[in-house]
Amino acid sequence: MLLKRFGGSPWFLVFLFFAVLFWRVASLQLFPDPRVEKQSRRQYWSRVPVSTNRGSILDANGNALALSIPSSSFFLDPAFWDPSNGPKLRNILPDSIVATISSAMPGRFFWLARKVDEETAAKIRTLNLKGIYEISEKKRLYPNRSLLSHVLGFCDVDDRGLSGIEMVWDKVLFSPPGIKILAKESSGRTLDISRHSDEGIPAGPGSVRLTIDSRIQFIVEKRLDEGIAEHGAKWGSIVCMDPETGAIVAMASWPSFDPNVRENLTNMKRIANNSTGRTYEPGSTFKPIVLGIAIEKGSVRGSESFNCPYRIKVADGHISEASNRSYGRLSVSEILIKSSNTGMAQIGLRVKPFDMYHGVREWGFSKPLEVELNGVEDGLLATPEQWRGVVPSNISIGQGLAVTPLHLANAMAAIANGGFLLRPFIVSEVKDSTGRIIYKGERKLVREVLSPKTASWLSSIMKESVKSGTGKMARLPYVSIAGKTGTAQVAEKGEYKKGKWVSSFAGFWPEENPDYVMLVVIGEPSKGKYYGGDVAAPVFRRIVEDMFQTGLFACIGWGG
Amino acid sequence: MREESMLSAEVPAGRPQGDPFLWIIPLLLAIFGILMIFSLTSHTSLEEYGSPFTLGMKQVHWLLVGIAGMLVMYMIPLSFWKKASGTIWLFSLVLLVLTLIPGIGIKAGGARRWIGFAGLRFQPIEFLNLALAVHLSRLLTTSEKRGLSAFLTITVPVLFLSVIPLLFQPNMGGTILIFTLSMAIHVQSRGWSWPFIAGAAGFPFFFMFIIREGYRLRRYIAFLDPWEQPMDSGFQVIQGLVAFSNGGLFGVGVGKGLQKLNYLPAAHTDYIFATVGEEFGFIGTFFILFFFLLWTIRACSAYKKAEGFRATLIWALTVSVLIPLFINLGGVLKLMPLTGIPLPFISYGGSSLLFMWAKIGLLLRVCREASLP
Repeated sequence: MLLKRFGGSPWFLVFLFFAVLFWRVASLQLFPDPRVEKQSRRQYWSRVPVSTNRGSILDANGNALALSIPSSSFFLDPAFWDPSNGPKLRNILPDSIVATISSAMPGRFFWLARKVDEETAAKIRTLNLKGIYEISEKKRLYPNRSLLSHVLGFCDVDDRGLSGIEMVWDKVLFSPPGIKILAKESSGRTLDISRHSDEGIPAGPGSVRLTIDSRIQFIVEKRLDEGIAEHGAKWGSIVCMDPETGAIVAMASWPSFDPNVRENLTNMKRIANNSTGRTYEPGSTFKPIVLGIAIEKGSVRGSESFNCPYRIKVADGHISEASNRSYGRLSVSEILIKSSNTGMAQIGLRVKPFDMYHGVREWGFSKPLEVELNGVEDGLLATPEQWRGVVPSNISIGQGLAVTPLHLANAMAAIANGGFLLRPFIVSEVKDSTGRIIYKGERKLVREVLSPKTASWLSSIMKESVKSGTGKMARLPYVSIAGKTGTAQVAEKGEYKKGKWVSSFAGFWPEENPDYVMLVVIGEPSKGKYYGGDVAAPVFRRIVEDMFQTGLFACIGWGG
Repeated sequence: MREESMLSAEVPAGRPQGDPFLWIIPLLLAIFGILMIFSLTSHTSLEEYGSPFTLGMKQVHWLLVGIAGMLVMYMIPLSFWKKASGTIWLFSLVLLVLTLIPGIGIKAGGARRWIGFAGLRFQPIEFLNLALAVHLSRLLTTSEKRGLSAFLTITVPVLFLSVIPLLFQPNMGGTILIFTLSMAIHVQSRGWSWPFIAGAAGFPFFFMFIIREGYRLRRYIAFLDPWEQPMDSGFQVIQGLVAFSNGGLFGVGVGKGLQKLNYLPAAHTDYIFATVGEEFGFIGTFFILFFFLLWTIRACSAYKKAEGFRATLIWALTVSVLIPLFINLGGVLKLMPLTGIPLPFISYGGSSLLFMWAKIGLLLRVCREASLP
């Protein structure tokens, strides 16, 4: 009838069916129902992002300081999970998780434990509970535990850098999570088909090589720990640099932490890097810089001498000697060697406040450092308009301004290297995933802050300070050390607190041609001794000794 | 196409022969099907039989048996079928009835569709499909009856007798298949009118048939709205759609499909088209459909050269391949409710493959005789 007239033969209907099938299959494949796509995304746990190979952080000699290793993670599929099995995991997993999984749970995916150690993994495995599945992912490992932990920083459980080098260089180190296509059968078992998904991961992330020498770092941390323990101090920091380039070879901060232990990472006191993130009043270690400024501005000549009583009155306040005695007449160099406060105050007063302010800033203080780390403080220095009364003389003796240990160590490097203020750097080389170098840390001159003559003059005074002055405790027979002690009072709410001190020692060696410049800061020692020369200088000396014994610098004979 | 066929020895030189595309296309489809079966079953075969190749190798053997069946059918002259079609049809009905007898018939999934002998399992519906196509073609072309009388005295009785055992199995897919096949043969021979009316009349009957059995009703509801119970009755339908969606244009890659991991029940049998869609994408499903279409076009052109019984038989054999194809794809593509009909040439399963090849063999024979004077 109608169809016969229309198609002419029954074949027409057959071809019509084919047309419908072509249309239908095209629409199902190319324009699927969103509900179908949603189902597809849900049912294989397909979007389980697992950590892949995060890039390594290496020290100057190529030793790995942070690397990724395979580890086991466990997850739970509530659809196959019997909550009455929950208590079996007690003592293996945290109580909060055991509580969660012991009652009915919604959804299809729940992280039970990520990146667990092999022992825990074995325990969970042997229980062989239905609904619990294991997958392998990469875990961040810091093989030297707390070594350099403040600089290295750490990552969150998804391997995103949260602090330190891990955060600053996350772009290079981070490797996008592998989307594990985890296949579940209707029987509830998993099938490892992740081989396929692994292939899709790009060539792997880049790497960051630091200027840190982990041998020196090890020595520095060990001696800092000892010094802190010996003096019952509250905090500490050591920065060691190569004065010729500005490369940081060691940077330690106390209290420290082991980034492998996740519970440590919430302790803000521990994870703070005191070398860059903490400011303190430098005290007498700042005096060589003030003297340098005064000489360079022509306010004082090296041949001058000053009468240095026990105490002088400046405007509304007093400056007195830390040693509680009068030194009498001292030459400029003797003022530094004996660390006379009243002498330094007089020298400082010769410099106009505005010149002093700019001089201090020219040395890099109270300014960003541009080092490749996060959370670096600028320090504090009031503008000259606010310098009233005793303030300018306080600054001359390193009080009334706040610096980070790194700022001060960097300024010391300028004295050591003949007057060149350099940009400090801690990253020597960054490679991208293809091995191409995308960043290179290099010597970068900021400013010439001293003439070579003034620099070597200051250096020789600092050498004398160690040989016969306040820094005697840093003296070693086989290497010439130049240095300056510091014993600063700690201000709280505008008042200097009695009995709260920061003891420090800044120096470099061998004095003739320095290989290293180092600052040791011991914050708030509580066991009686507090002079920088008694607390920090011995730590400095022990580090130099250890480094010498390790063969980290050549011996240059010294006649004292 | 008049090139040398593999059966040239049988045919005197210079004589016209069958169109080789009629068997080359199914062969390509069957080889593709075997590759798919290897990929889909390697996982389950390994667990159940200890070797990942067991099911794939079984299908290879069935293909060889099927090709042998094709050769046998090709060698049998049409005159034999003219004489014996009734007997063969009755024999197929006997086999079908045997499925209902405990001990011979094998029950699987709530239905008795199999008979077993000598360790082999066999679905008589496949045999009936062929036997009915031949027998009804012969009856309609030899009878002088017209109109309603032809319908009521020839087509309806054959259909009715064939369908009764199916209703007892029960086998809705098979019933639809046999009904549609009978109507299609009648249409070619006597026109649209009565099959059209029968189709309209059969619809309420078909509906009752659905409602009577719980699982069929569930399947029907699942067809209407699989999202009602996505983890239960709607599961298979949804998982089929998921497979197509996963595949997209280019597919996820050979062997990389996820739906075969027990998500998609019958991934290597009834749902094989969906897994092709997942692993090969629209490109893959398009080519499968395209090959079937191409084969249909060749059969159609052979049909146009034939007359009488031969023409009707070519049509009947062609639709006896295409109707299972449409029923299978209709279910998988959610155009109609699911039934347990395999995809011709491609799905795993011996009976279907053997009788599909037997139809090809007969088709080639008809084409050969049709071009004879």
